[in-house]
Amino acid sequence: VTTELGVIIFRIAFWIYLAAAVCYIGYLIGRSDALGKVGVSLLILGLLANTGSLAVRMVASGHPPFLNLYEYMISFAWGAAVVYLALERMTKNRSLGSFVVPLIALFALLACRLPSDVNPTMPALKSAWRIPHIASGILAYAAFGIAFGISIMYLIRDRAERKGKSFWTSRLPSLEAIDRITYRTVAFGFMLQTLLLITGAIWAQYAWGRYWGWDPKETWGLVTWLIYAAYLHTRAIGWRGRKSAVVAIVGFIATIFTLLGVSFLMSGLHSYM
Amino acid sequence: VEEVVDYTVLQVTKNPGIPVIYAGFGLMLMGIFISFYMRNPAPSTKPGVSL
Repeated sequence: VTTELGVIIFRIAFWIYLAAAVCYIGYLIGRSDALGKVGVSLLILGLLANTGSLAVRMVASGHPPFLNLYEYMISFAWGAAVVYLALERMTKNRSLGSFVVPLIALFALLACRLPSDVNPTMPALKSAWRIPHIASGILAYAAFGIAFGISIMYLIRDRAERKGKSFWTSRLPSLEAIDRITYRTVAFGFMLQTLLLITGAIWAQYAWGRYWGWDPKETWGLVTWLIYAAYLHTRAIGWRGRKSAVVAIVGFIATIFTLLGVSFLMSGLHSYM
Repeated sequence: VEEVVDYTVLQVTKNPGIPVIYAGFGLMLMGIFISFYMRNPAPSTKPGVSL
């Protein structure tokens, strides 16, 4: 078992995710239930390949696949596929996938382009807190990615309704339903993101001797958390629909900046990640 | 060359506030859980729409 094998398996997972994304889009545009079924099957198959790639990498490197950006991204694609499949089952609505599965394929593609070397752990960072920290990060960001995809869907349907175009209104769930699903997804992600910040602070205390140090990753993590807190607070004062969808979209842009932008553009204690 | 002295810098800290900090973390998570999962989600604009 080698790291290269894991990388190859993940590349296969990417192609399956891409095929699943094409089927999901075809399902929506062509209103073809058969394509929808193929899409789900491919997504599950891709998830299995993704799981295989994670398992092979764990065995080959001897640590959980959480140590560098490549490992984080293949875990993130995995988390997004799992959370999406659970959401599809809960809502019994497959059209969500037409907006979410292409995002999963995009993230898998991004992972394929990252350097996949195995890095040794810095001694200061060896801690049991890493596992809950990164696991909650994967699930929280996956939920935010899904909320982003279905918020775009909301805006498309909202625009179609105002312009009286039936192409989208006949294919997408009602605005109320989309709005509600986004809210539930953000609320799920928010709790996990809070756990992400807390476990990160405790880990930082052990590794660097302070809970919080305004490192760029920490600062942007807080900015993202505040945006989602604003999403939930503004709903409590009655925001719904379009306004909420825009906040969820802004939140995910901040999430991407926290996850990737900070790693590539800024230097700090998290720059290994 | 002057004599080289080997030394180590070690710092010992004691923080009696740790239980308070952890209790704060726990309370925060519990509060979020209760407000978003235990009670009904924020009312929808139309009745009968739920996840």
